[in-house]
Amino acid sequence: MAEDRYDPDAKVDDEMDTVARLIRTAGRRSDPPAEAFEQTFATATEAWRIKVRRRRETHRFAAIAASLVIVGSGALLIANLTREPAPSVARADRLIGTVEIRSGASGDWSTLRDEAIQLAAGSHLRTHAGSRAGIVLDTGVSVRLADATNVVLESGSSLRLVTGKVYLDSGDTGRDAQRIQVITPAGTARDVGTQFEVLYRDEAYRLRVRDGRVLLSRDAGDITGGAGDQLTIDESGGLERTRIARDDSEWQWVESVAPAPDIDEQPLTVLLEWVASETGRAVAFDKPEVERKANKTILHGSIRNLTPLEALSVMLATTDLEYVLPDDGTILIRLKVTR
Amino acid sequence: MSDTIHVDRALARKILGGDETAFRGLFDSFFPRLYRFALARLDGDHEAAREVVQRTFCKAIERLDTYRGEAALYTWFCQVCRNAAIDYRRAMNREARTVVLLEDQPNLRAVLETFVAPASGQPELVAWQQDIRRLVQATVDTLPDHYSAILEWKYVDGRSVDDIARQLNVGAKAAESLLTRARVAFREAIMALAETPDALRPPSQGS
Repeated sequence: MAEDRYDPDAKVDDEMDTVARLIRTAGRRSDPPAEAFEQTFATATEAWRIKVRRRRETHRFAAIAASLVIVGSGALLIANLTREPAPSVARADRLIGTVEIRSGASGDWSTLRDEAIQLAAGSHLRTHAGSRAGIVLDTGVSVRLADATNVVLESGSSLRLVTGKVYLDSGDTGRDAQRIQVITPAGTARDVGTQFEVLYRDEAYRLRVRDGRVLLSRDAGDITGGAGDQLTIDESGGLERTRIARDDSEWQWVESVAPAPDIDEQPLTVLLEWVASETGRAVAFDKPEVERKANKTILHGSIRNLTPLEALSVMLATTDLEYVLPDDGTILIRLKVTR
Repeated sequence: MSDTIHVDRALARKILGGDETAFRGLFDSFFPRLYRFALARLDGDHEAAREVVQRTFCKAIERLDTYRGEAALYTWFCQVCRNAAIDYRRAMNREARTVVLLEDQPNLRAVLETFVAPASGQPELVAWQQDIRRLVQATVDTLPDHYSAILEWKYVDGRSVDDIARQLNVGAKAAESLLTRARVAFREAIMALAETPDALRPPSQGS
């Protein structure tokens, strides 16, 4: 298969040229369908944008965390060597930015870097400005910490909010599941199967109930908050009750640290239920055939590290379905509109 | 190859850094080649190929920061695509077999030699032509885009070097040089698959 001086236009030589003969015999490669190109490009572009955004977030906070890691990891190692480990009551699930832990009231803070780390009773956790954390209690309750928040994980059913904002979702953990309470100096909120948020900062207290009911106990007596209630206690102890919608944008911060379900080999409806629960929007279908299609669509892959709507976009991109968010507070699933 | 890998690592860094032009360039270059790659492994099922290639891009992009340049970036994407095709077949409850194509065979030479003298009759010839066509096209797909394009212009479309030079807006000498490099790259790629290129010779009609 020597390549001695050949004339590129010599037809006679080409007939004897293996390279030319092979390529000519094979013919032109076929182009993929344009529709496949467009759909794949849309999906790949979305996956790429998410990847780039997450890397930027990680890099931004990694620089801040770097100086704390050396001191923090050393302190954690010493603590682990000298102390009998307390029982684990939770695990870290989602960490965004700088989230720190210390194992007791004293000691040094160390940066939490492993999203699968087990958390012992008595752990102190704090998030820095711009950071968030999602943890899952052994009972299945999801606890989400907003930025600039400091909490103590007293047990698997009790959380003390020192300052900041937390959101709890007891989901469908069952009637017998141990209820969670959030303790602050202004009062203790106990869930009655619900999604709710507690803010305590500079002696101001606010309880928002997104779903279910919450019992708020304080020195002045007990009070129950129902779905949509926003109870505010001012510094003098005065209570005000206002309303907040399930899909109000004020809830959006919790989506970024929501524990993602395992949707691999699961029907699309599993993902839709999760998205509905996290966004506070009910799922609606454009037509009965769309609902039938959703019921029959089986998903593959992982949605870890995606927000609910990001996950929905990515998963629907591989189907001929899409979603829109109409003003009526639903997530409308419909057939893709050909553009 | 080391130059290619150096360029590929730089390309991966650009894409991870948010360079849209780099991302679009990679997609335009890889999509048609990966689609054909998947199609050959999914019994020609276009719907399956589309889904597998979508998953390939999503998975490869998610893991792109683990690309260390041990192989060319396209080869790395092909490995992701190969695994995605296997996963797809399993998920669809299709026969859970791994499709082993000619270019995946460790002992390709022995396989290619069977092309030289099939048992008898037209069906073998037709099958040989299909196999060899796909094999050669897959080899062309492994080349850089400008190499594969010039090879097809010259040998499939039958265009002259002068004509190609005009299209590329370069001189005839430069076009000829590019064609030579493309031929060498193709020959090396096919040689890597078969030590004896004569094994690619078609069977005689009379055999």
